[in-house]
Amino acid sequence: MKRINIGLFLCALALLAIGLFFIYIGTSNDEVQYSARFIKHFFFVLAGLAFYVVLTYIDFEKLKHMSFAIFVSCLLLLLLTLAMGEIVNGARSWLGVWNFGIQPSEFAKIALLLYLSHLLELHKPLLQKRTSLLLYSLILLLPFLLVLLQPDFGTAFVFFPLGMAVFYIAGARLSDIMFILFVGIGTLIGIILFENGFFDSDLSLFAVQNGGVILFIIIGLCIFFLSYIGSRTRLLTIYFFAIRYVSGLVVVSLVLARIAIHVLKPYQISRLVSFIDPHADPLGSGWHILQSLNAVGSGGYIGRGFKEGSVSDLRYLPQHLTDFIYSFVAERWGFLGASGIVILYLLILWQVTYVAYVTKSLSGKLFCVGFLAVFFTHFIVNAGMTLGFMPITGIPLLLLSYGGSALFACMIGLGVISSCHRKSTQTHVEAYDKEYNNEYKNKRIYIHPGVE
Amino acid sequence: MNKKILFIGFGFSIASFVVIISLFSIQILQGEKNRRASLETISRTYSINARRGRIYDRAYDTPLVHNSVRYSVIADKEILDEYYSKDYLTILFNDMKIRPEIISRYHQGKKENDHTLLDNLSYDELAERITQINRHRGLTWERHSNRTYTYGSQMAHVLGYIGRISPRDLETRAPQGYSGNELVGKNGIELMYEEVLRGSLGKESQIVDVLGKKLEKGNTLVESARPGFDIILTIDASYQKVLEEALGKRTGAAVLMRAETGEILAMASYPTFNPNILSNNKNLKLITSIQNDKTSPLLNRTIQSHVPPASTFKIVTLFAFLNEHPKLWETEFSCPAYVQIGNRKFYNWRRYNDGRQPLDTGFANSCNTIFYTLGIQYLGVEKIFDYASLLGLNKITNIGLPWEEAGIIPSRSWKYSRFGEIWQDGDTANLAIGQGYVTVTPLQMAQMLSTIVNYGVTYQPQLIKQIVDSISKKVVKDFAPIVMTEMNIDKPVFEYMHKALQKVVTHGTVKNVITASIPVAGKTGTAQTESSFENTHSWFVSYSPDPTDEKQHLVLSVWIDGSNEWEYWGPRASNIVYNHLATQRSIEDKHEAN
Repeated sequence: MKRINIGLFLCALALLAIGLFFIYIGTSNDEVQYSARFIKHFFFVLAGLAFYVVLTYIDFEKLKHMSFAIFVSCLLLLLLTLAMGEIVNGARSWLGVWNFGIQPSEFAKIALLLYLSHLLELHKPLLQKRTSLLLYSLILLLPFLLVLLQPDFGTAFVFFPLGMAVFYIAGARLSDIMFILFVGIGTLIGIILFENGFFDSDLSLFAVQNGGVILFIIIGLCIFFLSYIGSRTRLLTIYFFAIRYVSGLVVVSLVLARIAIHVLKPYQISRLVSFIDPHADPLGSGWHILQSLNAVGSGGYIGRGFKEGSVSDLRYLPQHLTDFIYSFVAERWGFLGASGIVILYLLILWQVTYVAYVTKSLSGKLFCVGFLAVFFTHFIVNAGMTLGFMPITGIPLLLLSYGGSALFACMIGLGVISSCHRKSTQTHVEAYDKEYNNEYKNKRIYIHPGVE
Repeated sequence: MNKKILFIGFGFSIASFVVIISLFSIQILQGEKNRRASLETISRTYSINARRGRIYDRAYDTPLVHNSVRYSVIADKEILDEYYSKDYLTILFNDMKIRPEIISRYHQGKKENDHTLLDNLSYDELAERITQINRHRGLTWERHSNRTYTYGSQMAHVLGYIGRISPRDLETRAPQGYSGNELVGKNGIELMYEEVLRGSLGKESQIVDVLGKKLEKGNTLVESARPGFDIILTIDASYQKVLEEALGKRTGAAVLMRAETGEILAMASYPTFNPNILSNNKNLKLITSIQNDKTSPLLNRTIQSHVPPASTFKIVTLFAFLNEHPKLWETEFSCPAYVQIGNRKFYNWRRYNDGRQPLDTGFANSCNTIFYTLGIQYLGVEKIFDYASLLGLNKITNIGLPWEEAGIIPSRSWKYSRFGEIWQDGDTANLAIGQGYVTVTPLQMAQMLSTIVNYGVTYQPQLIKQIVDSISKKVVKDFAPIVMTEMNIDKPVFEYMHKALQKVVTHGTVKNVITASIPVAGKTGTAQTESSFENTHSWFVSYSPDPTDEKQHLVLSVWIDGSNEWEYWGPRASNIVYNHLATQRSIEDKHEAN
């Protein structure tokens, strides 16, 4: 008997309902009760649920065979977006279809996940080697770069945890995986140091702009090669490895940070950096964070309820239905409500972890874990942004924020996971029957299973 | 592999608790701080204007200056033009009794969007039009407070007017919390007692949305405004009216003051202005046209015009002589047609020999030649200068009005430093009869005569009687008379002066002019202006017992400028005032009889 994972479905449904409810109260006013946005999102939710249900009953094994085609078509969509997309909030990330716009970058995550899990199932042992890890990373880099070129830094960033989680489960070494994480953090620190003029202080030996960084990189490279030569002696290998690891980290981070300073727009950098001290520019890049903190802070234990005169009502809170919906919820429902939302997300995380645990096929496990990483990243980065401990990136809060593409992508992912769960619960006999049936159907010979 | 999955799931779950911890910190631990910050963000503080203090006359009944609520009707052209046709609007505006020129200006106006259709409406006038205003989009009305000067131009120079604060004023007044749009006193009492009248601003906190739009219900009072204090003047409105009517439409000034206290009972200056126009009109052109008027209506001539005092200065000369030469009081002096000084002949105003006269008769007839003699032979410029200074003639009186002039009492050093010339005897002769370089203001003359009346005690002229809290009516400050100087001169000198001044009225130059039934004493003056011999200033400084209080005296100083047609109006104007004072006494006598 195949079982439907009812818990996962209910948690997702609850979050969708809450999101819909806040979009309703955020847009209805004396003149219009059901705003166009609310109605639109209502149909998004219905369509998302339909995706979920349909995918639940589609076998994951069948999807796997289409994964390459899906991935390539997603890449083509991303290219098309770059060529003729619409610019929204400074990024060319929207592709208009009739009256609707879709964000191919959201679907690209799922497509990549699908393709990657299929590919790694086929070539798993290769991952033990660092070079092959780099090769697989190139597949990940393709959609990443296409999204980065839009430029949508936030969405592009999500590909990293996705890849890290999938590679880790598929057998890559933890130290290699963590290196990517550390490089990410190191790059952010590097950008902050650049912005604060650390590298062009009077102490730097080079009297050129950001000259200090060259010094750091050169010293880092020297240490790296010295320890590489040292490790040839086969003595104290672990220490030489540590030195090489750290110095490599510093060099790569600084180089990436230097590139980022060039590539990123000034407003993006100031957004990245302003979460550290929003008061430095309270009316500019710090404005979003301060207003969000105001809104969240005025929630208290049980929230402000739905009285007039709140930060969100007076439109001080920007993007209160999309990126900052969590502040909106926290303001209205307070600590209890906002914590409840966290619990709902945790429940979904646990359900997905459970499905990953029980699924038998490697590709299923990889998909579940990859989705887990995407889902978690969206949650922690978005909530962290509204609470001021993460930089501002335009990542929506999945299932809660207004918008179709992210919601569809999420519901598709959850649908696939639900399908994996459904498949994992079927008994051996059922699985055998099915295989047997398929085999003999293909041979056009019909044997009733019960005859033996 | 499953271990790894659990490791990831577990790690993510733990990390998610960061969100809950952060929520707890922001909403609970720092909740109060964030709530306050959000309240600060969404609220703006606006100041509430305090009601400006009123100004009363000494009777303290009807205010001379008060604030009246007026309404204006404003149209938003963009909205009106969108919703209604031009013809419809014309009919609508005609219904609302808007003047045709404003209607045509509305139809022509392209640049400005806000049109004030009607200004300065009373409540009833607004009520007539309120249905039309409410029915049509784009029409609104506003309420504002107008500074109202009850008697229009009457005593305008004392009261002054208000206006928008000038950029330079704003710099100096900014520490007291003035803002760029505020109305401040520009002249007179309004200017000098600005701080008293202004009160203190209140504060109101108003919740606004991110575009700065005010929420209807979201206002709370932070600090209520304290209305300004009311000021009670020493001015008596009925005297003021009589004085201004007596002056008529003649360029000049007059001041009526109580000798024993220094209180100013009336103070008139012509030409005058209407402070209602200056204070409330938004039409800057009109205001500048008043300010730049050639006749200088804004000039308070009682304190800002200093002109030769002419024969009224003989009071000073006689006073000096009496005090310097007590043995010569009974001497008779000859009053010839002229006196030869150096190579010039100095004439008397009567061009014939008047024979020998006692001093008081000479004073009463205003015999110039006698005073030439007194000045040159008996006193000299130094003595005259000393006595004039003693009587306060080259000092401002500190009445408490802006831009007071001190006038000039010439001396040897003054002439040398001013013209580089040496003092001549002729200058002394001119000074002795108040001609030449000497100039005084009408108020100084009144103060000088008060000192004579008061046996040498000089009071500072005062305009303010009391400052009163406008709500509780409690007296905040009472103004007692202020003695400026007290001179050590024997009483007989003053008694002689009084007798001589009375003789001017009974037997002297104004024998037939002053017809009032109360005892008046005074001195005329007819000053030649530099430009012409025909146009002459007409002075009359005089006093009489106060009809309401026999022990006190009222001093009246009238100066009619030489630019007017010659009417000998100084004494005549005074006669009108004294006649009024006399009838007032008769009314009171009747009361007592009843």
